[in-house]
Amino acid sequence: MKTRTLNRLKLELQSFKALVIANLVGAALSLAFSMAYGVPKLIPFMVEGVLEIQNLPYLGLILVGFIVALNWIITSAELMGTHDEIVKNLDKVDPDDEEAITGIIVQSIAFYRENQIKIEKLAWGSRITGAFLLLAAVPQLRALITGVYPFGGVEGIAQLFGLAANLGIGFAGLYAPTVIHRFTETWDMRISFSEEANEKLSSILEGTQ
Amino acid sequence: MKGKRTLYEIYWEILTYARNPRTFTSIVHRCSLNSKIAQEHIGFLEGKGYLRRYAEERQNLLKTTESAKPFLDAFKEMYLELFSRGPDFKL
Repeated sequence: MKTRTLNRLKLELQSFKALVIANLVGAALSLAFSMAYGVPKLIPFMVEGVLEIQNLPYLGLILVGFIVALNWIITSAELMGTHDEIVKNLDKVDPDDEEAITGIIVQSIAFYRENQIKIEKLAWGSRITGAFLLLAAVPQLRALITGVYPFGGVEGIAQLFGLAANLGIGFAGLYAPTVIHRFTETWDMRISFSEEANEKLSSILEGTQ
Repeated sequence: MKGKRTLYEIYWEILTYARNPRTFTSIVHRCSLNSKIAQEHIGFLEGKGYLRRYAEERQNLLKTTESAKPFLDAFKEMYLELFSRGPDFKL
């Protein structure tokens, strides 16, 4: 049983780590995109003090995207820091040492209890950034269709790559909350089992002396 | 250890760590507790007969007793079972 438990624990911790890394990458790319779109539109405003009205919604969107992505990066990095300690401890565990495995389980449960809200926030960050990236793809798509950049030229190809990346990461961002939901569902169930276990432990303690 | 732990998880940590004789300060550090809370928990475990206090080489030490075994075994069994019960998560 302990080997199965250890393997399952390893797989889960690694899956969560991969999920947080994917979130970090998504957030970093969103931040880069929002800066790449935002800065050229802000330059005329900063230089001439003139802001074109048609650029206002995009600027608002870019600003929101920037703030959400930054927040998303901070949350992911905070989760990653604490979680990494557990993964490192797990790597040192002897597969036959049931006590050490139990220690990692206690650490993981304590981590989930403490970070439940942050993990749920991660899902919202991912959802909002996904939507932001899909919306940000609209002007790119419009530029591509109206032939702002000549098709086949370097700028056209770059535009196409940019659009593909935007759409890819945007859809991934919208899908990520489903994976996070599966994670929280699994852990909520585990927390409820641990509460049952704690009740039994309480009766053991009450039974003594 | 960081994170939100239940009372029983803290008891388990103290008792597991004190299998080898430990000073009060080392338990406080290892289990990330403040002195006041640690005093309460250790006092409770001593009261249950799960921890024994004794002096050795002018040091005041605490050691887990045999009476704690049923609690420690049950804890280990139930927590290991958490990962063999219910659905698992993988990408």
